[in-house]
Amino acid sequence: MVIRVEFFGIARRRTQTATALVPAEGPVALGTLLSQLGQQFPEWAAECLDGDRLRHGYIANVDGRRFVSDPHELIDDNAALLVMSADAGG
Amino acid sequence: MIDTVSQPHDGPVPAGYHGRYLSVDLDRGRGVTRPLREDVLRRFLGGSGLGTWLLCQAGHAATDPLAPAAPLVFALSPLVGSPLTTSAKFALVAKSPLTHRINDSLVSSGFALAAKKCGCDALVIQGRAAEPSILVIDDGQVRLQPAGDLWGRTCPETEQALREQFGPEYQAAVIGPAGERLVSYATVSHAGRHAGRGGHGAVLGSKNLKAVLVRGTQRCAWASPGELAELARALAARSLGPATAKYRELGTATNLLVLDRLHALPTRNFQSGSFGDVARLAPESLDGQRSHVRASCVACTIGCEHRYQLRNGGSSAGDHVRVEYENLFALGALCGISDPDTVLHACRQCDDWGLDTISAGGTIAFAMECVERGWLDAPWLRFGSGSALLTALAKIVRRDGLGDALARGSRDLARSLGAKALAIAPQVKGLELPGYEPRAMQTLALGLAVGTRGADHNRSGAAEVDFSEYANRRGLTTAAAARAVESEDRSALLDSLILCRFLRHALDDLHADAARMLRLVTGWDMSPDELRQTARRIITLKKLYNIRAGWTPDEDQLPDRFFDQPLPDDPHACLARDAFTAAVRAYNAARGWTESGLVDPQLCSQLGLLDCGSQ
Repeated sequence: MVIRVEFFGIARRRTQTATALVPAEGPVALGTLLSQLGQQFPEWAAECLDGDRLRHGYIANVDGRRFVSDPHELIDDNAALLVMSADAGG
Repeated sequence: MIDTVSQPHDGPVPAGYHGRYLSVDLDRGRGVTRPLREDVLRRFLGGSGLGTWLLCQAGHAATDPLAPAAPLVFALSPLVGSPLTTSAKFALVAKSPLTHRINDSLVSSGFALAAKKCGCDALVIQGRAAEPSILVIDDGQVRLQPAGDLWGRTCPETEQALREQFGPEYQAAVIGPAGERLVSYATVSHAGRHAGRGGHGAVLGSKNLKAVLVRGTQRCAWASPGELAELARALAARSLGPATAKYRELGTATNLLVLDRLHALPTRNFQSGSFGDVARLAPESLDGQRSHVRASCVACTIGCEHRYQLRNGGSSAGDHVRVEYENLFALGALCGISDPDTVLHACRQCDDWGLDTISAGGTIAFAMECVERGWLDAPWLRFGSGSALLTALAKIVRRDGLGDALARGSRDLARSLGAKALAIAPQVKGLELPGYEPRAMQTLALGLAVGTRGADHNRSGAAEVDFSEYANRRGLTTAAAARAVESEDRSALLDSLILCRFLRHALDDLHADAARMLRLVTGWDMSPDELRQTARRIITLKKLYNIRAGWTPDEDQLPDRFFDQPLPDDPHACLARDAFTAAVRAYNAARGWTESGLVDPQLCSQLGLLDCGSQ
């Protein structure tokens, strides 16, 4: 199975991609997934990651439904993880 | 020259303030400099808070907003002129001709700095000039002079002409043709930015004022200048960190793709929450296709302003146009238009003529749906038609034919079409909804409904609750009410200090940081709790003003369209009316108001609002 990661805003600029596909066999902890992505996209990790968490000002969303930040939160292996700015205002 | 007298000030004046405001009566050709007591300044700070207090003192809330007696307040703040980043801002506060409720709008840049050097903390204008005029405040001296051929000119043309006539030391707040013609959502413009919402431009136009010019030499002292400079350096460094990178590198327009993905991008007058062609308008696409420049307000280190080249734009071709999320949403997705050149050109027209983009786009999109449903006979006005959008904007500013009805906003137009139209008119209290689908962001839906100035995302701030794990954005509960109150309180504090809301994620603790800033500027030893109470006081005073102006509980409501029917493109996004009604009650309870939203005298006493006028 594959977790589809969608990057928005600054995350997209730093990764230089709109999506990344992460193979997974079963649910993966958010922190583990972010760390894996950090190895793939070091520039993004330097700016947006603090260990296995997103930095203040950034947030993740699962399937467009719920926002998550706890690194222990399990992400289903067929989910879409959206990474975006936590600042929605315009 | 307007004769100006000064009333004596026999109390202490805190650092950071002048301790007085200038009141100008255009009918009598008279100005009075009146004292501001320290206890008033400490209770209301500045900006939106002080402006609201002055509005309550200056006039009767029942007065027609375009009547000569209606006050228009320009309010500064203690932080204006300090080295703190993003603090060069002022608030305009008046009764809105669009909503007939309180309206406070903020705008940045050099006008705030120059106005504060005039030696006052605020300016209150009443009356009506005998002919189209400009009001000049020159270091406390006040004069009116004929606007001459400025009348009829665009906002940028007016500022340019004034700069050439008066020189760069003067800063101008101006109206465009929309304000002159009393369009209910006309803006007041300064340096390309706008006090956009609620029609302050029409209020200034009703006073026959094309512009207010300010220049001065008087400076305030700071209580602890050395420490303040250190804090300012640290804050500037934080403002350049990752929390604001979004604004620096992409601007607010980057919200388009995110909100579209979450089915929260209002499209075709809120008929859906996503727009198939959204990518064409997003900055991620615009950036590679056309020239792009970045700019900042005066005294701002964030630099959120992004301008994109306008192509095929008639007389303005080749220019750069400021692009914000709300502009792209309202003049793009909401009207079903994805052609970037058309949308950028519409943005330019609104900026030039002094029109609020959200209300203009909201009203036009509503009319497009009315045409689609056969309720309005204007077959040319169709979703997706760029020429229809541009024609409608021109008709609004000329008040030509249907444009005259559109110039009064969607609520007024809906009332003329009947209850079925009111159900889909995208407004609360007459103010058109911003670019967030209420069914997909339900804490914000609550915030939009209860807001004192109507459907406004900046005063509410509840979008950040929906963008968090603390709320289910598609399932409103009463628990969300407390968070809506907190976010609204934070906004009230930022708008009264005044600091840019884009700075908030660069602060560790807004209330503690604000208390420190105020201590270094004014010398006041304020606690974070005192500032929480200040924010609650300001919001309750705005509510009191609205009650005096005729507010009733049924105004804290969204249009029927948003209830009990899921969003067509997201079946999970359904706002239950019962849950919404319960949340409004919970919000009122969290504010200490009655269940229906009234304010009892005991709360007024607790908040220190007993001297805030009774009219």
